Amino acid sequence: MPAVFTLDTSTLGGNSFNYAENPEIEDRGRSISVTWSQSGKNQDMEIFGYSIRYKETEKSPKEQV
Amino acid sequence: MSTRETQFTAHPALGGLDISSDPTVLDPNFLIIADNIEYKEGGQRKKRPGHRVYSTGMVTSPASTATNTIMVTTSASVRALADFWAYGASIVPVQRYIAVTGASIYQSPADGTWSPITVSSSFGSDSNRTTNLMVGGDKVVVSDGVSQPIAVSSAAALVGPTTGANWPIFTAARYHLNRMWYFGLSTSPSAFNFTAANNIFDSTGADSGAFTISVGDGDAVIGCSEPFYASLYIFKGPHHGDIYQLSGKTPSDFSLVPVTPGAPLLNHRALVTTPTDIFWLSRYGVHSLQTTVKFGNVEEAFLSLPIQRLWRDRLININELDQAWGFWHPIRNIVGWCVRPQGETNHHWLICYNYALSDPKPGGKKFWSIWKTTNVDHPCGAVLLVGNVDSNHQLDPHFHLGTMNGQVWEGDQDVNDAGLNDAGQAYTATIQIPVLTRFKGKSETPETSEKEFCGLVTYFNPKGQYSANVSAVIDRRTISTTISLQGGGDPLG
Repeated sequence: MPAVFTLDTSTLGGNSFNYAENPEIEDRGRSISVTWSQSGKNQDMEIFGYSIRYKETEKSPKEQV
Repeated sequence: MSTRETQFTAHPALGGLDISSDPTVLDPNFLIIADNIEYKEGGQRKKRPGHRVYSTGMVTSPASTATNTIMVTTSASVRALADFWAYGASIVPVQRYIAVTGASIYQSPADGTWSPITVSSSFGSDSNRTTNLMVGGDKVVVSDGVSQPIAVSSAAALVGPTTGANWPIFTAARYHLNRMWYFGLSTSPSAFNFTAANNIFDSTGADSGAFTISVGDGDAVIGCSEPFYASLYIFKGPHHGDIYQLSGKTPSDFSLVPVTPGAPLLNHRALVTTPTDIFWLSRYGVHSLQTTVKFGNVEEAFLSLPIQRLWRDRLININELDQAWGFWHPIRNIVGWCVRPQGETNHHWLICYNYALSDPKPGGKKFWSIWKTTNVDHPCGAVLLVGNVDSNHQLDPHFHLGTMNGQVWEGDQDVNDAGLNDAGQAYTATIQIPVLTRFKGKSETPETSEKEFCGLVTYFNPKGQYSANVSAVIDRRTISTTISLQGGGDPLG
């Protein structure tokens, strides 16, 4: 059923927002790509955006041999 | 967070899908996979709505097989669908869905049940994929280019022409100026004929007429738009492709002019008319009339340029594009086409273009996504207004899909999460960002620098006690984890 909107009480516009932290996404490299997937029956997913935490390290990285 | 740590944020999502460019040159809010998602008004990427089997039990069971749910047999193809509102002489209309399934014509009073209009095997063959329904003159005209066309009356009975000669065999028709315009004639491929005004059955009288459009140019008349700014746009194909504009109000001033060459239409059903533009699918990509006229019919003007790999690398079956069909979904701001992936036997990918968010200019962001159903073929589809089968959504425009098992699926099942399935089957929504190599944190970190990645933060709309899989590829190493879609919100300290 659609949500009930009450004049002078309900909020116009979206106010649902949250975040999830994944500190275990941890490694060293030059590049990163991320995939999100949701395969559950009758389960939803709505992604707004993302941040990637990083430190700049070697400016001229050496490859493992 | 250590003092050396910084972060790079891609704010909500105002970037579309691009599978054709080098993934390292794309902006971070673009996507290189957008499966089973739709873009909301702010660009958010949300799992697409689900589908239920159209039936009297659909509200409680998405896979309902209630009585009169299946047309003909469970192996019959639903090959055309239309929403038929008949007024006749009454101000109160009667709604019926009309379907061509197998070799039969069915009707439904939009209550979840189907019933045959006449005896079985009355029209064409199950395998025909050029079956078309035209609503006009308080009739639905059924045609497929092979069988003798027939009409369904407002009383849901089959009727044929009662004035002059019978119709010739034609492929499709449009209703314009109270006339039926029909084309794809089995004996005259470049003909574009019209009936008398106010009588779609009069195809031979003094007020009827015909054009022949560039006869012998290597093409046939394949499709025709809905009336668009007082004109019809006629598409030849499937080899070279030319577009013509027909304007005028009466036979004495009907005039035909060429508009643009190239971009051949392959199937009338792949032509989509909206109030502001005409879209079509060709062997080269997806085009629109406004874009083609404004920017030229060169590749850069293709609306489908960001997903051009589908054509160039044959990720879709090019040889089956003549069976693709299109749709316009006004409340989701999308036009789309159902195509067959390469190597498969079913048409079950719906390539969807969000025209409200997209910039049609060459190089503009295009918001594409691909909706994929599983283990099912969709020979046709249409947006129909919901009837009394679902009183909570009556008159809502819902996307309906034909199947190859005698059933119709009703889409737009997302009013609550229980609708997020395809006739009871789960489906997977997936998004993937480009390969990011240059980061604009406190200071820009170039492509050549090594980065120590130390975390990912995902921003989302909390939906329930669900989780999503997250996979990060750093250079060539993969880290997989999950996130709760309830989210955090209680930092230490």
